[in-house]
Amino acid sequence: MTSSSKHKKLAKSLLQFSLNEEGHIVDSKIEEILSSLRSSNPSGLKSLLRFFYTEVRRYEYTYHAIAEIGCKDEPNITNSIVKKLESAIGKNIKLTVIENPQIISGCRVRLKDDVYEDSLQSRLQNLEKSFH
Amino acid sequence: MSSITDLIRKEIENLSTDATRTNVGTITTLADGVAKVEGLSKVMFNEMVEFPNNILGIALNLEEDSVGCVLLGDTSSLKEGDEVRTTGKLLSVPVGKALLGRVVDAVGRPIDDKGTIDSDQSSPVEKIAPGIIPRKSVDQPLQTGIMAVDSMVPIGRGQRELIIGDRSTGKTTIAIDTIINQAKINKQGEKSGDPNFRAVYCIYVAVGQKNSNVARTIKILEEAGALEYVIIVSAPAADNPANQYLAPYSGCAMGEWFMENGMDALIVYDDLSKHAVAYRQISLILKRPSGREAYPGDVFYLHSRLLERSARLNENSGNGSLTALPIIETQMGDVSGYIPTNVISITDGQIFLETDLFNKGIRPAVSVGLSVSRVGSAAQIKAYKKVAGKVKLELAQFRELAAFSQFESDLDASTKARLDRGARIVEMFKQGAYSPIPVEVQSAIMWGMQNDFFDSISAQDIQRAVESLKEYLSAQGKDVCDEIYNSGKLEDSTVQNLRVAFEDWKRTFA
Ligand SMILES: Nc1ncnc2c1ncn2[C@@H]1O[C@H](COP(=O)(O)OP(=O)(O)OP(=O)(O)O)[C@@H](O)[C@H]1O
Ligand SMILES: [Mg+2]
Repeated sequence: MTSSSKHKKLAKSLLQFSLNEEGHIVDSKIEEILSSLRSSNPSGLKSLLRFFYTEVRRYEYTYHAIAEIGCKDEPNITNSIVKKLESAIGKNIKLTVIENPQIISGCRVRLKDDVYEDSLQSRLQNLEKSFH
Repeated sequence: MSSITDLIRKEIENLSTDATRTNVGTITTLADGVAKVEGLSKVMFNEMVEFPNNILGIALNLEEDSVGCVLLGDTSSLKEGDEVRTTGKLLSVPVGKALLGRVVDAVGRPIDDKGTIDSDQSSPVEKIAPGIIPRKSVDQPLQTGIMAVDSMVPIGRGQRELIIGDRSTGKTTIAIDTIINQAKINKQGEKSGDPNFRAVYCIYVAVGQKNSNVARTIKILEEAGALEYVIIVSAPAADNPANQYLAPYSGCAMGEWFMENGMDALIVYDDLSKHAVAYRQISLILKRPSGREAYPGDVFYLHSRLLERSARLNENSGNGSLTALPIIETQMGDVSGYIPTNVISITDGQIFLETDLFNKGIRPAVSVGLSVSRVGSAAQIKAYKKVAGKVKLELAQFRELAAFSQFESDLDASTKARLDRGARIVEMFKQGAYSPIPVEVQSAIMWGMQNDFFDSISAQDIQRAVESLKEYLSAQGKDVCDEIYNSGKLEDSTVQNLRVAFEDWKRTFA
């Protein structure tokens, strides 16, 4: 096995250690892993950390949704988005809501590499494209 | 008051939304017209993906956690971290008769300043070739107008005939001549009003060529009045490799439209060596494992899936056809290179052009020994088959004897006769560029050769004689040519008339 694929495998198991029962990443566990790595300082630490970084980021995307909305954040909007997404993927969802005035109205939700969108901005963009 | 707003709010909630789901990714690396994209987990193979600023790409490598995309168009505005989205569509190009007379790029956009193309149909660039059931064997001729080709390596509609030779041996000229001849026949046929006449539409795909060459080709076609029957797909050398890789498939999709709609079309790929090089470049950047001559393992499939799309369909499938003339450039006449052998094995024969012959002034420089047509003779018209049947053998014997006779001082009569005949046939086959000869005139000339009418003329004068005969046949001798054209056969009466015409011509030719 090459050292890079070894690191990849190790990064994957480190990720498993940083999860709680819900399957979410726990910040304190990651800090623990980082500090123990720092103190032992194994060879190829940099490449291992790079793999760990991509693994964590990629994993976080699977349950961390980002919603951009055009208006002020309201709890009932957030709740309905979370409910919809959870029923769709069958997993607990962590949602971050960002206000984005460029959207004008409507919302755009990104989960993993899927984007669900119904906004005035996208409709205007489609209209613009149809003129080309 | 509040109950009314609640009512409206309820109404709004019940309205269906128009939410769309797209799959997105981000560019992680970008180099040489190829982008590695993270994400895009739902992208399909060969799907069109959209980069910012309306730049399109195609997903070619689907890996565990990234996607390799080739980019079509100017990539200078893209950067790492840009968002990429799927479109759910396979790359397609406009098709139809509206494209005739136009010059388009690899994705079918016009590049000839003649305005937009109003075609309401489009067709995917990659398509599965017709299977066995809808096909039929080749049985209708496709006249190139070049005597050496039509007599010795005849081509039928739906055939794939490779044109192969070193650089600058007249490969493109043979293809262009063929296109010009189709235009001539089309015009003649349309004028005659024959309901059974089938026009041949042409597609010329220029891959990796100099822009000046493409411009010259367009000019030649325009001057010959052939452009109105031709679609030119151009991906010149300066174009990015993705476009060069795509152009043949795009052209093929345009040709297939004619075939699928019961018409006949001819497609020229000029040339597939450069196409393979463009594909090699893409593959190396995509880090696909490379094999012989650094080509990727699927370079055979690259050309086989393209050439298999040329076919002759049977009556139940509309009776259309797509004939392909791929061009391959060899190095120092070596046909055993990787790409040449691949394409030779896929096609139904090849026209091999020799540098030696070309430099000796024997043009078109068709090599008799190495050129073959595996299916086309079934499509030759009867009259021509009758007179041209022996010519290939005669020429081959001539080449062999000529090599030996250099050492012999006195030769027996029959050897000398063969040598004389061979030398005259070689002269007869010399033909200038862009001057195709109609098949009935070719048949008449060939008949004259087989019936010894040229024996009294010295070999140096044969070309002059053929020129004068062509003139004669288009004026006084027109009737007998029409007879051959209409019947396609050499009846006894036609032979009689031919003899009279030749004797008449012989008197005028001194
Ligand atoms: N039958 C012919 N009679 C006279 N000249 C010819 C004939 N065929 C080709 N030529 C000339 O030879 C030159 C090269 O021809 P052409 O461009 O067709 O070759 P090619 O093999 O396609 O070259 P390239 O390798 O550059 O693509 C041209 O200038 C052309 O006019
Ligand atoms: Mg050429």
